[in-house]
Amino acid sequence: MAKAAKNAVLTTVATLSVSLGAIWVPMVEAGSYVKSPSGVPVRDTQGVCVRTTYTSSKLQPGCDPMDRVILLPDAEGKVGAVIVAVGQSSELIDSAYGSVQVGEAGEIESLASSAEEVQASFGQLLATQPRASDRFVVRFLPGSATELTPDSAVVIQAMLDDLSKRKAPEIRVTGHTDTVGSLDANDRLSKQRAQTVVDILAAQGISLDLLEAAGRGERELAVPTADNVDEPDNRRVEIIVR
Amino acid sequence: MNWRTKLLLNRKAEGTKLKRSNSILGVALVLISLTSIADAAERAGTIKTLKGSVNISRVGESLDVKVGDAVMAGDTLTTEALSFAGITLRDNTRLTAGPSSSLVIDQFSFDTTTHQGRLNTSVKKGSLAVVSGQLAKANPESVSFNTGSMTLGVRGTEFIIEVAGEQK
Repeated sequence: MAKAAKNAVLTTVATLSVSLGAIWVPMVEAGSYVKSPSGVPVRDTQGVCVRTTYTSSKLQPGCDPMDRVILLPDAEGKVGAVIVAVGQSSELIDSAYGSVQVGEAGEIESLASSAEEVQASFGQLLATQPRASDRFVVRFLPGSATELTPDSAVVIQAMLDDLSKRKAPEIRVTGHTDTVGSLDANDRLSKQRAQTVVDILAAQGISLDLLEAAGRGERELAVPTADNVDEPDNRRVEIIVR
Repeated sequence: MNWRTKLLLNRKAEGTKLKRSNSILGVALVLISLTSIADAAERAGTIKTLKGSVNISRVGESLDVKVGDAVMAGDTLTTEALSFAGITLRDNTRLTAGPSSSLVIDQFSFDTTTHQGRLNTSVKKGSLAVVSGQLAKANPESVSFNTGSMTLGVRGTEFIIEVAGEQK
């Protein structure tokens, strides 16, 4: 507990000076590793963090092994949220590059990371992520579960182009309905629509092994409506390529 | 015809079609649902990207991993130094393991109709980049990540988990 308290004090005055004990050392950094002006650890040619001349008890992100979570903005720049629980405490992270780590004494600590540090520590990890899934939407002629609207040919061609760029691609074809009719009936109708599209894709030479048909009925309306509303934009099939 | 007549006709058309489809599609629908049940019970996702040496431990057996291989609920995925593996789960969740990492898919289920299900993942050591998918979108409570010291609840969408593991 005393150690935890000392760590907390160290955190707040880190930029001013102190190392452990009573010795005051005029320092820019309180960590055991050299940092660039933007706070990114300096690494040698092997990618190992370069040490300073003294050892701090303070864990340094990116260099010391530690448990931590860093929230990232998504591809559109939007930031979600993660709740991290450590023992009885929990902490919400909801800002870009916000971070929570488990300190030396097992305590929960909030410590912001940065785009630069994430790139330095995890650039290759992020570059190895699988390609994001893509979604293509086709629609049906009024009242039909078998005839697609004429513009669907263009959509399917775009889907085929997307497919050719992927390694080990998989496709889920999901049918949707409007809110006319019962939930059960719409589940069946949406699956029927999905199966129509699966047949079309199979006829384009796509292996059935890659294809999965699903029906969401009226659970996911593209255009929100009340029950029993005829809405052409809701009678659709989404082809998700992943 | 006015919009009201049009609406009625369309509604009637959907109704007629449904009655017909009930009998014709009966057999086909049984086949479709059987396939998806089998999938849900077994396959959690697929290896999409790979660098270096990665293996999966499944029911006591150690398997070398290549792109396109299945990842099952219960699998432990282990990467060697300088190695990476990217997995896309069936709900579009993307998990990418960094070097010297160990990851367990404790639980995975996903219903493609309701989007309900469960994803529990343990990160034993190393690093994991996560982009949450349709499970977390439909119900955030259905997705959790665990490291020995931390439990994560996901409210979307992209984050990195780093775990010291035994070296600490």
